Amino acid sequence: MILNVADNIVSPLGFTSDENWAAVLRGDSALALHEGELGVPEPFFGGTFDNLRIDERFAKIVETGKVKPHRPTKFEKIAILSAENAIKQANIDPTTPDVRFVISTTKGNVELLDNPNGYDYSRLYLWSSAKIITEFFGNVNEPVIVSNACISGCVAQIVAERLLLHDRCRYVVVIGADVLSKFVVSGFQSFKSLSPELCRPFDAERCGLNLGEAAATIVYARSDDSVAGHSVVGLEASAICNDANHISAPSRTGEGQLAALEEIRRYAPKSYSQAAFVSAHGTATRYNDDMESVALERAGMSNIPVNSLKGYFGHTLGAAGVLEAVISKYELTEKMVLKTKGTENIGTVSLVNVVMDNLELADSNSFIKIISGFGGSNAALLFSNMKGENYG
Amino acid sequence: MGKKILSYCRITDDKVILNGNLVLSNNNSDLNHWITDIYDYTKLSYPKFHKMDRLSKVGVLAAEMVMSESGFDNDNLKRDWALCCMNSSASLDDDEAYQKTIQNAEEFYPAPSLFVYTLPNIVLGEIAIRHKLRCESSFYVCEKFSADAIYNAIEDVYLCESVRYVMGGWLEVGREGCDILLFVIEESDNGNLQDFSIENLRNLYLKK
Repeated sequence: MILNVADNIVSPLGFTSDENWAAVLRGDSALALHEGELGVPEPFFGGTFDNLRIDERFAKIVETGKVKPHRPTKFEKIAILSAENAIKQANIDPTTPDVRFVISTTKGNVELLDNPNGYDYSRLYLWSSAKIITEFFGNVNEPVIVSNACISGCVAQIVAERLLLHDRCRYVVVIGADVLSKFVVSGFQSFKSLSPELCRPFDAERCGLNLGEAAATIVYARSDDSVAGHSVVGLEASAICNDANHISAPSRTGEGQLAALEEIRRYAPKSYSQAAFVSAHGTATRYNDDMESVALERAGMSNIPVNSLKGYFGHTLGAAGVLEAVISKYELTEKMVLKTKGTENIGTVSLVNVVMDNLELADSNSFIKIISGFGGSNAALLFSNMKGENYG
Repeated sequence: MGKKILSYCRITDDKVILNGNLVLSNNNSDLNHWITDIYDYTKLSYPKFHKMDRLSKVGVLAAEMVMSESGFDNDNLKRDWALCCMNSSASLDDDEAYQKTIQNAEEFYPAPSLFVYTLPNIVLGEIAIRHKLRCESSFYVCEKFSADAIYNAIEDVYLCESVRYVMGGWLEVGREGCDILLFVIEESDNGNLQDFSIENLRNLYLKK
């Protein structure tokens, strides 16, 4: 078990986890129609930052950097912004070798391919951005960079779990970040994955996903570490499983996702059986949501409350697994499962208990996060509340 | 019992080395032709291969060789495995190809067949499909080949009790050409096999 010592979300809905939680509790959404933006000819619904606000926020912290980045990109700025606040809250010294950084992203600075804007070509390499981020915090260790499509943010937390359980360090700063660009938006459009309207996860009429941009950070420590003193929610079990079926479509029978769920059940049967809800990937594409419904039914979880956060933030790619783990932590500790925003009539091939109105929880022992993505990847994470009624 | 290297494959721009033996040399072919030469050498007949990007092609060929050398078929579903690979440029080779389809507003034809490969973990998806590896697959990015990073990541994968075999290594195809080290690890007491160690990985990578 590793504990979430501190976390922070930087999204169009706010610059702290508390701000983001307050926003989603009010039912706010980052999603809006964008026409003629990013150089994409077709309009799209998505959740994008007001770039001026990022610049304002970044200007306030840039002087605290051990190495001040030379012309940081938007991607690098939001990653640093999210980590800076989380590290401060965790009250750890990121310059010590005891701290490792794990960075999750799908496309980093890919927008520089379209317009290099005076940047060196090397800035396209993910390790180049990772170096700027870790140097800002004066961290001497080689960062671990996870690039595993949409499940990257969850894989990054699994890496943190392994680093800590193997005593490779004392704290892990997990950062997930992605920004939208012509590259990413046009790619999903070419795939016919984008919805021409606000996304409707698990809805019978759903017609695709909305993309979003965000950065989220969680600082993890071992549960027996004193720094973890006041924190209560941690990652208890995790699994990754490939469908071995198709590179751009999930298994219709949910094979990989089911196997990942079965694996976490083997590791932590008690917390698994007491899970209060499932935070699904719920992208609102036909195939993804059907697959999740099948996997959940096959895992015997047709009755457990399930939600998707995509109607609030959009699909934030490499940030999604981290951001959604943070929001779900709030849902667990505040005993309130958020409604699946945008969904009116549930309609998936298997029965799934989609949360349609904010749902108060009677107990709050644990929740399960599931996620899947291109390359046939799936992951399942079991988060437990050490102060929960039945923990231990 | 210890972790042993069952087989390994090294592919560079000019040669293919399989378990220490030079099995193919490049006679001045460019990368695309070189990949075709390796495909012909493996006698693989796999129609899907021809739709893949270069990273997936080279990865699938290396996997074909190490799996065959290690005595694994590609028919049976494999669960007690894990895939764990790294490279330096992620999918930049494919990113550039896709970017060309959206560069100009006048010729804006984004190609889904190219876009799907603009993620580095897709090569692991292709290998998983070919060999029915329904198991963990994870892809990492590291500035340069690092035996330490690969070794540690795979040691960490073995924290999962269900894992017996790991296919892992370095899968780089980009501006600097093709640079592959792919291997299969097993928990084994076979004393004839090389130990899975940082030093051995480094030597396999550097071996001429």
